[in-house]
Amino acid sequence: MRARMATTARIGYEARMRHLLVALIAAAFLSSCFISRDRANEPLRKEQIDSLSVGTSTATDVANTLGAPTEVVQLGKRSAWRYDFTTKKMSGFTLIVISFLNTDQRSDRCWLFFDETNVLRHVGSTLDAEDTRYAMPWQDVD
Amino acid sequence: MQRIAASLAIPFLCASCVSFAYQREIIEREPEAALVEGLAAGHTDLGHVLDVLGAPIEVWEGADGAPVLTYGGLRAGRWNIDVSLPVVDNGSASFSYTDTRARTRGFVLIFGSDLRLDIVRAGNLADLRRRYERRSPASVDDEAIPNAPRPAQEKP
Repeated sequence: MRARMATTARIGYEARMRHLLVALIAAAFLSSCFISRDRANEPLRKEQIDSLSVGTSTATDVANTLGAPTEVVQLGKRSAWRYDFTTKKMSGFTLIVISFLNTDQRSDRCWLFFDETNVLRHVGSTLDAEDTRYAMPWQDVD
Repeated sequence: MQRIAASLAIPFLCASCVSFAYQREIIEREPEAALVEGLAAGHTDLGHVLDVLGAPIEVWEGADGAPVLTYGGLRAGRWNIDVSLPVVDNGSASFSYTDTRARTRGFVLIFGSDLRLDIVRAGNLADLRRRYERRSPASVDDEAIPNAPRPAQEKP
């Protein structure tokens, strides 16, 4: 009789411990995952950049088409204007005390170079903001 | 069973004072070295560089107002360990160890006043900028110059 009661108590104790273990594992894996996105400025539109003509468009034309630049760099009597749009995507998760995070930041950039008379002479643009990805740190990202 | 539960419970108890994080950062994209190597110093002009490499991440003024273009990117992973221990009633001691394995690398392209490519350098962009950026005149505190004219004092 006594032996049977001891066996029943042990089985009950093991069941409680098993439930506790399952709860701890569930808490560990569901504790936190997140994604976030930051954006700075407005996306650059290729057709707007393409509408500018090297050798004829002036700084005024550029300002009327693209708006105010993010940065103006004086190059002696010449100048260069920068337009950009940046996207940053973060993703990750936390397992109790250890976190895995991935940050991917790309931008659309356009630099316009003007001569001494404020006529557009050179344009360089890179539109990479769309390539920004949510990923885990071990995943391949181009 | 008890041991497994105890070993799982310990991290929960430590979570508020110790944390580990692995973070990968991808910032922009470094241009392919082969594209940069294809640019000929003394011949390639600014327009061709912009066509081949696209928009630089930075432009600054070099010697004689000539442009200096910077291309680069960062792709790096690092471990952070943060430990915070309560030592007095109203404060705590904490330290952080960061293993930064990589810094932003890329290319600096220096042009002449005729807008032709003069010099190409590869390496850490912060170091290259320190080395090649034209220094602006430093501001001088008037108080440091013995005979500098002083602003007129208002009389009460």
